[in-house]
Amino acid sequence: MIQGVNAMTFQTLLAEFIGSSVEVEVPGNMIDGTLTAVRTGLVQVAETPVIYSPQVTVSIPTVNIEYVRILVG
Amino acid sequence: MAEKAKSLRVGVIRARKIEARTLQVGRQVSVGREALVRRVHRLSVTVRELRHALRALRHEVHAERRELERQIEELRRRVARLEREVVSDLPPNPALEALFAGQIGQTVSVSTASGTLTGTVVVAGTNAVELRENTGDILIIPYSKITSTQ
Repeated sequence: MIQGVNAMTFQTLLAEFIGSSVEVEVPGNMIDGTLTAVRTGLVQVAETPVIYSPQVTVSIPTVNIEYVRILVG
Repeated sequence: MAEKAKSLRVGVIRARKIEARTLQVGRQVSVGREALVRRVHRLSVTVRELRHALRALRHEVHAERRELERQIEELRRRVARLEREVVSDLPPNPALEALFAGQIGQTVSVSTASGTLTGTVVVAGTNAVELRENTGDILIIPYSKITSTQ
């Protein structure tokens, strides 16, 4: 199927939500935080910090992601 | 023998031997008016035919150019798609893409190894689908992680 130049990929769909609260489901784990970056092969999430603990940025290989939930509601 | 510096104009010369320092032999053709008119007419017909052929050629070149431009545009789209596929590390799935594209606005249930997700199809991408859940939350699911959909 030939797509137009505006066809969307996982990265382009996700990149629209940088700065949003997300839940990233990976096998056996769920990472929640703020989506900070979407790169080739990698998604970065700043984990929601526990009180008084430093914020941790988690890098998740795209191939391991089962799905991403963007918390809008 | 002709005198020096005088020209000799004759129809036929029959001689065993001609001695001359310079011998010029020319051909003078006289063209009548009718012959000229015929030649001009033939030339004007040829010019008209050439103009006609040129017009047809221009038309052909124009059509060819439009076809080439269309093909270039098509190739640009293909290259853009291939670039996106190379940049993305998730494989495209044209069958799922077409399936979800036909379900835009409809509610679907998608199963993955982590569970079943339900939502309205918003975007059918090349390698992932975007759903909106009842809560308003957005789900982005790579096709490669979908085990089944209904």
